[in-house]
Amino acid sequence: MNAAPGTIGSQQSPAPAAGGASWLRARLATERRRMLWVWLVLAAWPFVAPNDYVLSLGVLFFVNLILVASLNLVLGYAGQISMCHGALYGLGAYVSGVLSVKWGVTPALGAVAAVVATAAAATLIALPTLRLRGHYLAMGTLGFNAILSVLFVELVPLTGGPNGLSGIAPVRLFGLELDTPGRYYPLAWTAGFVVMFLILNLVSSRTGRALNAVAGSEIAAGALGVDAYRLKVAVFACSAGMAGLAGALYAHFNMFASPETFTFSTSVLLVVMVAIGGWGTFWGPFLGALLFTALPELLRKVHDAELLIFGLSMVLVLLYFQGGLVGLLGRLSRSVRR
Amino acid sequence: MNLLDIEGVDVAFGGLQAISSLSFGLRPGQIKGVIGPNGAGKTTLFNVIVGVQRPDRGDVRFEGRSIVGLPPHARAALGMARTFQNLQIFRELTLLENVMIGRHPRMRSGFAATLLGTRAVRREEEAVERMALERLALVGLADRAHVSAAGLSFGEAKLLEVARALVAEPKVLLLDEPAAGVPHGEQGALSAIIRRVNAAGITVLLVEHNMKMVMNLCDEILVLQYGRRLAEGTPEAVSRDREVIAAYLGETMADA
Repeated sequence: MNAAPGTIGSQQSPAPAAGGASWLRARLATERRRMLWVWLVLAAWPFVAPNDYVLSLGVLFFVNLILVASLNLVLGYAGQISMCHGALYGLGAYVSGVLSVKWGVTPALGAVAAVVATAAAATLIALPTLRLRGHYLAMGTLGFNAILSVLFVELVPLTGGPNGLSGIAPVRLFGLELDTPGRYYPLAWTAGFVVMFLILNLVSSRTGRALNAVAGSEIAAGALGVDAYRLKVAVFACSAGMAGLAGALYAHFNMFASPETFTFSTSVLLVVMVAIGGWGTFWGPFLGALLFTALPELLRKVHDAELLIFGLSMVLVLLYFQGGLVGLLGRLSRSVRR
Repeated sequence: MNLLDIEGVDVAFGGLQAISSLSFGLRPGQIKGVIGPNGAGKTTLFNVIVGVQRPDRGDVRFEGRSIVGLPPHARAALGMARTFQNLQIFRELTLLENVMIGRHPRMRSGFAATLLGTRAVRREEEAVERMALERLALVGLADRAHVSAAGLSFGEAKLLEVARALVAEPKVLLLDEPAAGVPHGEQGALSAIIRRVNAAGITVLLVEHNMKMVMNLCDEILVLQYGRRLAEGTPEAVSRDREVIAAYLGETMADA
């Protein structure tokens, strides 16, 4: 698309639609259409999955998608390092789970509480740490993750401790208990779609551009009128809320929550998945979540090597294809077309 | 009333007095130049005006109101826009998106609204897209609106920064050495654009090393030396000033 050097005032813009139509709106519409097609294909999963276990991996894919995509907002778009998304995921799961087990709160209300609690907790970490420039958010979130991991295990009367929290109620919708993977899948499918739809809106708007500016240069962003501090706090809280939703979605599907699911290594793996998928790209988390869901199954035989393999692939991505899988696919498709 | 007032500003870095009790004003509608040899305090002064550097003493007023405690983003919201000496463009975004960022302080769509993608957000986005295309046309880059900014030459990137500053419809445009690094052949186009911007009613403060550009463009010039005001006046008056000739112009004029 390299045009010849422009003369002043020349207007031969290569916009897809003529007559003052919005190029950015056209791009958003293309992306939304692509989403619709992908979700239509994903709707077929319950019909092709050979058994309930494989079908349940489909549910987990959407949970992971929400997690990786929410982290990508902070890490990829805003350029801030969060090391506690595993714990925020757990906080969401335990808030909704404990409310359900101890007080019989419905999953829908529990999910709302999970979103609010995680967003509030994230705001509390973000307010002091993001005021300082540098890696203070990374440090703060690291500490927060450690604290929550201990609380999940030690608050035995609430969380059930190391044995986990059992007896979490399933979601009930239109008088139907969503207690099998087949029944739960449409709910997870919808939640995944809604979250990705919201993220697409956000990143293709004023907020998305401001996030890009903050990631690129906070000095430039400030000069252009972006209040970087406020924006970073807002996007971190929003991202945490989404992770909390993923937690609630997981807890009411699994009907059980164990502290092992939400350890520090989960937080690290999520960062790795964002990188492997492709930071700051809309479809990167999709590929990252696919990998995050499928690889543990494929690597079941070499379970102990899982972290090693993830770590190695992270190093490879950082060294050789910083655009992640999305960037790699883009390059491949361009060279095929040529 | 002046648009911008600098009053008795002092800035010291350790033992080095970068700016000493400097005062000057910027009248609405003018193009004012700030010149001086390297180390005269031009960049420090620029940083004080945009809010990156807090003065040790003195006041900065914008439309009569003290802004000395305001962070850069709040000053941008008041109607100050700037360009950078060493470029600050977003290479992974298109030219159009780069320019649209400049409109940020004048846009209303909040975080939640953009998340939901409301009708008001879409309408605002489209209006800003049109404005950004106009500004790109003004600097001659409209035909590359949808190309990534990574491929721009240095001079083109400077023009992109000007377009990005203009889309905010600022009251004052602050240019930090716009000619630095721009090939000689492209400097004329840059001057023409600055003149056109000023004719459209935008006050311009030009901090610049390039003497010829300042002499041609500005209706008033402030000459700095060792952080102090050496002279201030019309280009003719300044270029006749004995002290200025001795300190700065002599050599440069002789070279030119």
